[in-house]
Amino acid sequence: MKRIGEGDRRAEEEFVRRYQRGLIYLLRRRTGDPQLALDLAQETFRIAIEKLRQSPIDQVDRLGAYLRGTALNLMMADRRKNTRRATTADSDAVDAVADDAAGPFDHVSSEQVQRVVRALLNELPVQRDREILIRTYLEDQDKSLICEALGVDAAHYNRVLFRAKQRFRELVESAASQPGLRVVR
Amino acid sequence: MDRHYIRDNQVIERYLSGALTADEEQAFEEVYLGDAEILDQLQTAERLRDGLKEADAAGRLERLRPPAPWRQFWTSQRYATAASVLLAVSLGFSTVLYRENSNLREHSLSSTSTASRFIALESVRGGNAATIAAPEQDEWTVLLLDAGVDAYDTYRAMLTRDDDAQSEQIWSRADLVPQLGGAIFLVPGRVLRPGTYEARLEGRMDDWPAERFDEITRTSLTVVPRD
Repeated sequence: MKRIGEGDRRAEEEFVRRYQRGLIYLLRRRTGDPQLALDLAQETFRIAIEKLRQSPIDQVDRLGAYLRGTALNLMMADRRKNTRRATTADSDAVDAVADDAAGPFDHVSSEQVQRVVRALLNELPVQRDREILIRTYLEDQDKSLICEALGVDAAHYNRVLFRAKQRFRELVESAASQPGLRVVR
Repeated sequence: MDRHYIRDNQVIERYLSGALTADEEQAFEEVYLGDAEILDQLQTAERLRDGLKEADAAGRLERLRPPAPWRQFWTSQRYATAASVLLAVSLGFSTVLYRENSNLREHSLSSTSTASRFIALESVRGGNAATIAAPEQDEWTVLLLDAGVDAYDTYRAMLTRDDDAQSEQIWSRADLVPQLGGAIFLVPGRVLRPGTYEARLEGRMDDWPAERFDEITRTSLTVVPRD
């Protein structure tokens, strides 16, 4: 943060790189509009860098709270006025927002994800483990209820969920690396 | 909010379903903004959730969905436990009947067939060991060890004989598949001579290092001479 206060452009890039994925995800989730999320993220970083250049935030762990607050304020202002604020800060780092924020899930189709989901469920050897996934993600059931209904403890539940997510990501990354795929999200 | 809290309180899944409190939601969003690993987990869970919902809407999960409630009992652990108890009881009666019949047959027929006994071993800390009469040479003893609540990919069971100063492994089986809520393995009568034994069940996941096993249960068994 101190380096940003000193006008270090590389420090600004590092700052943007560290927070951009999370910020874009948060804004996309809140607005439901990918393009608006990118615009608001860019505005948020411009404001944050301008602030950090003038008066650095002492506690690094408060940066997340500061960015979130700024982004949500901008989003609310946008909703009220349907216009976005003009800011004066200029930074190459901000212009790079979203250039490398895409993940494997941005490169697979809905059809492929469905195939991967079915492959994942078929890979699980125990019906009870498949049921844990279905009850958790499809039926939004509470962990304690699931554990009680299926007679499993919290450690087993955590393990099934962790491994399923890990394996799902591997399968999606494998699907995304195949040629000829279209970008759907 | 740290990673333990996030995992233990199902924060990611509750965030996706909109079930977090306002304070939890704010704290979690502040965490994942700057934590790439948590963000990875969140995005993976979201896509998995969406994928399941899309596959379900397309009718592609019908075969994999849990059975209807009335059918769930037949596939539940409670049913497996009840079935194993019933089986143990029925086999117990069968064994008694077999012995009575076999006593009768000894007077008129020479017995050439093999038989089996079903013994459910329970791990009781500080309790008395299960005691059984030594089987016949050609008799098989079926041991059922409780497989616990954690599911493993494969199981192995071992039976060791404990003498005064040493312990000797006399029987083992790998790649066991749990049945009736436990792991079953067959021990030929010739190896179960009077003495003290220990039965142990271990489990492992396929992605673990080759030699890693978790101990699931360990229980003692005493074999006494036949009357």
